[in-house]
Amino acid sequence: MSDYSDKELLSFFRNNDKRNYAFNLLVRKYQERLYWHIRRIVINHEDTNDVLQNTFIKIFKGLDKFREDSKLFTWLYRIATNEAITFLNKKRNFFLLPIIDLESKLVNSLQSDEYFDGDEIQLKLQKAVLSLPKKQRLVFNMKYFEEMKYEEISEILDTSVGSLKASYFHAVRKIEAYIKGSCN
Amino acid sequence: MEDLSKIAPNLSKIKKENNFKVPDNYFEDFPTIVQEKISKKPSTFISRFLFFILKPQFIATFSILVIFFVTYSILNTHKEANILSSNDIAEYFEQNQTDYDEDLLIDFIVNDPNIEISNNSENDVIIDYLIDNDIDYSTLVNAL
Repeated sequence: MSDYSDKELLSFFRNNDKRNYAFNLLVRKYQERLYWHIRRIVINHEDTNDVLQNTFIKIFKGLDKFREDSKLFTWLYRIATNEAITFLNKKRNFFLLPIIDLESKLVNSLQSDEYFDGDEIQLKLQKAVLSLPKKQRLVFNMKYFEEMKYEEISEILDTSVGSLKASYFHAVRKIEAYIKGSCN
Repeated sequence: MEDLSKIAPNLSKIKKENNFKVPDNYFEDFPTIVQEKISKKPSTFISRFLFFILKPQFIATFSILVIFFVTYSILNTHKEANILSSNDIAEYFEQNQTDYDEDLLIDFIVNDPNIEISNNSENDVIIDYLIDNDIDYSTLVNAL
């Protein structure tokens, strides 16, 4: 992983001679975090790979216009989240699926995914997360699995901290009920 | 929200781990794949046009249009087949003389503003002459 700060990477990127090198370092620095973030949204590895590639292509095209008003990683996460959600919407439109069918399609894809090796309880947890409404699912993943601060999530999703706390609370209650219900 | 075990005891018992995996060397190879994609030439006009044409929503719209035109042309063909020729109409009347009322037909022709009845003045003169001279039409026919 690159030891350069975001500021240094941006400054390299703006220098034409170091542009490709800087972008390569940036990809190496953020690819894993963005990969896992997208993977939890679209579930399947192949789809995640496509979305991650598109995300970095968009980042490359837009990096010149990036004004350092927000943190670079917040901006990258925002692009990745938008790309993942757009991908799911396109998938739903392509198969003419209502939301509930798309979620069941994601559950099926999780169960047959050779790159998922969770036991029964982990699979149950993922199914519970997939049963949540889109916004609650995003907030739960970012808070619970990615352990992000509410302030960071707030910047990425452009939502108030209070609203995020409420979404997370509802998500946790629903997941608890799902797990409790499936255990009985 | 800090104490997860109080509001979600079952969830807090589940070990927090990442069970998703990636293919071997995925993250080692990924930067090169992205770099190659970025270096690729931008798509040509033809490929962009084909992509636009082959989009699912355009395929769906095109299919609907094809179905519409096929249905329309089939219905239209049947409609044309239903138009009878003059000979067909004449033949029908010959075979079904009792089925229609001649007076009704005459009334219809006389009252229909779309049908122009020619004003035969020569006939009118002859009829007027016969009436004026009190000549019976059948007597005249017999004499001839």
